Amino acid sequence: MDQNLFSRRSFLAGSASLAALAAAKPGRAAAADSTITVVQPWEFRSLDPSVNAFVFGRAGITETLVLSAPDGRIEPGLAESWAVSGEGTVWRFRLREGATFHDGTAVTPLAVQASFERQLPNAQYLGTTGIVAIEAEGRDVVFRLREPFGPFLSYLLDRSLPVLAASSFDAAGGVREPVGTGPFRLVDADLPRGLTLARHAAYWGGEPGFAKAQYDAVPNGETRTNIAAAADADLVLNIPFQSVGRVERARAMRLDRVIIPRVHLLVPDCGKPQFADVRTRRALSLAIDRDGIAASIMRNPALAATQYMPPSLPLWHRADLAPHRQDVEQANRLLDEAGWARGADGIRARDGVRFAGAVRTFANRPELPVIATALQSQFRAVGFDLSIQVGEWQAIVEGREDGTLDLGLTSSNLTIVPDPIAKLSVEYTRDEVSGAVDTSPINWRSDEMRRDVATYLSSGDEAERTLCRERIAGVLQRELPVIPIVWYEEITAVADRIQGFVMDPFEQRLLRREISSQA
Amino acid sequence: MTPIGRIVTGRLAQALLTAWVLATVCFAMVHALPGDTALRIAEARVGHDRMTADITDRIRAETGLDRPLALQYAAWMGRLATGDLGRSLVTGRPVAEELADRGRYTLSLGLVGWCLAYALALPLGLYAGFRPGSLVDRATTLVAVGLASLPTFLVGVGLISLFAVALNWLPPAGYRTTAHMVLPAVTLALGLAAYSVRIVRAAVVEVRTAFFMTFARIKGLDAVTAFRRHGLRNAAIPVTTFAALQFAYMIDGFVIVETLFNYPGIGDLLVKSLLARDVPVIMGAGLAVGFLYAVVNLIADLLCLKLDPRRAARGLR
Repeated sequence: MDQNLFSRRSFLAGSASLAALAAAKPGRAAAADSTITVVQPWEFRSLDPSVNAFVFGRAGITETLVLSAPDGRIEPGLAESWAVSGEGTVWRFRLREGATFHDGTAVTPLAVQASFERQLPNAQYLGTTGIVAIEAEGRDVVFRLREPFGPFLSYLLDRSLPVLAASSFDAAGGVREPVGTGPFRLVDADLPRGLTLARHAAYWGGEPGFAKAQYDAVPNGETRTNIAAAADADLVLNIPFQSVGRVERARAMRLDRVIIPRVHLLVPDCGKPQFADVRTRRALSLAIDRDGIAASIMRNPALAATQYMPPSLPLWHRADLAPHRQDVEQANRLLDEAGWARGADGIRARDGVRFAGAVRTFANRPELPVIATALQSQFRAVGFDLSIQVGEWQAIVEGREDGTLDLGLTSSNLTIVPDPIAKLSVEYTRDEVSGAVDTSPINWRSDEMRRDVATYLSSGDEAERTLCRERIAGVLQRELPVIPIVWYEEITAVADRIQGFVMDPFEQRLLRREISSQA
Repeated sequence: MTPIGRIVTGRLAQALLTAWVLATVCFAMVHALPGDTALRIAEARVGHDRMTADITDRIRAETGLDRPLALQYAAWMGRLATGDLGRSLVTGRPVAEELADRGRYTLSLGLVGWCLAYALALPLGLYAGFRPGSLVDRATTLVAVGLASLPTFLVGVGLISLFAVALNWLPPAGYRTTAHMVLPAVTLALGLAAYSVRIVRAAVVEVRTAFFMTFARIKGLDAVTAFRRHGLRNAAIPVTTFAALQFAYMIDGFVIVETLFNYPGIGDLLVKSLLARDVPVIMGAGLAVGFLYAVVNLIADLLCLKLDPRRAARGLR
């Protein structure tokens, strides 16, 4: 009978075989105790630190003369000590004895000088410090500056300029691969997906707790969440806050949360009539329910940005500042005073100008469009009609250049170097702000802030710098050239076997000396 | 020239022309998009946080994006004439290297998923075709319709939840070991099999009801022999065409599966290159995908000719 050609039994047997075949492979090779596996969202686009700036420093491949601690303090790195003289124009660094590059060559003053000189043209922030000469003198490396530069140590932590061995460079002077001095050396690079590192046995700070480190780039947040839920790595960085519950329910890894120096903010064009008067910016700020946005969208009430600088920047965060808070009545009063009268539709207008605008934002940070929607409803309560345009972040830059931007909703990393002054001096004190930046104020100027930033940059007196910081934070709070909404937290899933992990809010180094694996 | 030789030559010429047109359309469309290409390239290189105007201007000058479009296109054509697809504007690597690197992952995963799909679809489709209306036929219809209507990412998430998170048998994402290929391959296979099982079944049912099969049975052949001798080839023609189409469809990658499982394929490369406006990679990929698509279809046609030599005389109609 033809129906017997394929029996039901043979199908069941076939299906069982396929299932067995699929199950036969072990799920994941258990990593040897001496290997730490790290999953991160950032791809490894290049082996050149001036391009892929913070990846190599964070992985512990490269470092420089100083290091930064998780609390922001500057610590000795390749330099064991330093001194400043010549009224702040001469910075002398005494090199640590016995430090070696990953290729075995010694870290000598000449090698450090050569490394800085080769890379300085590409340095983003260190290049702005006015270095006129770098010299090797005995055990010291000396930087001579055109004029005093107070935060020079922080600028040295510009991650686009680590100390590299001569063997890092090709004949044309470009970086072939980063041969650094950090606790891990690069063994294999599978660009842009992963890096394999091995312990630098001669590391000056003592051998790291792991013989190998495997870094994998997983840009998709949901995929990282799956990896954390399955505990398929030792550290999974940047767990999306929307997925925290899933990782917690899986109970396969614990979560480490730290507020980092990043702020989501609204950038109004202060040249437009709706935002030119500081009272309207204050009114919009008073309309924002930051606690609600932090609790319901960011899932952490502590992220409500009561001021521009988050508490993870203790030198800049001012506990004495009157916090940004929601007060719709006060907002309406301010707008009435400023002459913005409500129309029949509840939206205000003045001199024929409607109190309205479009906010441009982007979905790479999925919370931003949601925050925009919350702002839309909160602004309506004070008579502002907000429309939302979600696209690429570049649309904010392009809009500010062609004058079509009303408001941008974006995210700002405050510590490309550990001192936010680097960001402020570039974005808040120049008439011609870089045309590629979407986080700086638009058509806003404060001479007070310019003076304080200039004083801060040139002063070596900590008391004077403290006063500058306080005044700058005050201007930002009062003038609201940008309106901070929420700070941001870095959420890391940590395997149970990993001990001593501390997330560095400045994102300078991931695997610090204290980290180890449980026996 | 033999009829087959004429077909192959004609199709290869068509393939080259299609690939060139596709690459040119890619070039035109990318440049027709609003916005500054150099800004996007710069962001893809250094990241959003480190963007400055200096970096953008430097990239604009060094990549030649400030030249007129006609010159940029002519430069690309000139390089292409020497077999050079150029370099990625983001990574600086040769485009051919980028495509080969990603292509091997896409092709290996695609091949495994495709084979697995037909390992499921052929026996199930044949069985259902031989027993239309049976429990297995109805069950495969139900499952196939269900799988075809489910978005691929849901199937993938379901498999990850079960095999990676709950049972911990397989890794949830990655590409380094064979085990990493299992879940994405099964996700792909289930999506492909949902359609192919119905095609196989329909082909078998159609052939079994054909007059020549009745004649074969009247001649005294048993059902199995009649199908093996006279039915199999006829049923295989539509299945081969459909299977080739499914395989060709996979050449340009399967973005959802690659993203969900962090599998580094062509689809992932294309999406990232489009977002970054990495024109040489987009054009190179357009060229390669267009050509491979045509080649796979040519192979399918040749297989169909082998199955039914009468088609050669009709010019593959």
